[in-house]
Amino acid sequence: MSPQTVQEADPPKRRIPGEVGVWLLILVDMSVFALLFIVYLHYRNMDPALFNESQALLNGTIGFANTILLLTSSFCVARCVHIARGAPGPNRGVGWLIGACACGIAFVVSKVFEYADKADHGIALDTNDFFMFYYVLTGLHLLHVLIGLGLLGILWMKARKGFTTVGDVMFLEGSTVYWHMVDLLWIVIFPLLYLIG
Amino acid sequence: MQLLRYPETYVWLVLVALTAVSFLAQGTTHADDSGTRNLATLGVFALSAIKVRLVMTYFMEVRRSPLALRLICDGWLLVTGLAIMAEYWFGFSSRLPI
Repeated sequence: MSPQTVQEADPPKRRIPGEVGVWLLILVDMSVFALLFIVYLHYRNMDPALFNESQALLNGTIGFANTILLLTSSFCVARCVHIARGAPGPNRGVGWLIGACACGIAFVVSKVFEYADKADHGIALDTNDFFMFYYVLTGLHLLHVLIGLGLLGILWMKARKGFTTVGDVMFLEGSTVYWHMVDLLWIVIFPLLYLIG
Repeated sequence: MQLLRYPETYVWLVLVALTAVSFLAQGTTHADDSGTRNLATLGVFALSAIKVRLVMTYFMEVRRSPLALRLICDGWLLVTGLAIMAEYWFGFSSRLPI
């Protein structure tokens, strides 16, 4: 039996993009991060002066650039899904996928430089509570970025022959929803660590 | 421009614009007046909540999902957003009897 093909660009009826299990994982992940955000603010309230002084040592421009990179990457992935699902075939949406990967890799590289800069200034996980949260939040997020980049890499390989089966499309949607979650979490982390006063 | 035919393009432009507004408001958040600073921070949180909902709705395709998933996603945003703002403004967790 030949695999069922998928033709529509936009699913005509309401359905969950990707597997339900992927959404469960994502919602649990998002809830864990939500708790971390509250705990961070709790500690911030206990010593706002220390947190403000430490926050001033971060480079807000890098945080801003990081946000633009992830937003652009999310946009590229959304375009890739639309194109690949719209007319299944070899290499459909690959250009957008490459753009998404490039933005993701640029994010990782900028984080490496940011961590190296902090290390040069003698700032580490145990410097104070603010930097403990800085490394935990950005480090956990970076781990998610790396997992997401791995998924995008698999999508890139799959895209060469096209997302022609229902299973392919489910994997495409699940992986890209995960990537959007990575973007979504950074949207909250950026103001918490770099902007609020 | 073919890209302008797609809603994701406009969503991306709005997301970038809101990020720029939040970033530029950083100057205000470091003002000496703590009242202004706190209000500006709440504004930055509100803009972030709008951005999160845009990503959920358009990029994660929650708008085309069943009602249950839409409610769960909106519920997460509502609870997390309100908890962040309440913790920042009132420090509510330190008042909990735990």
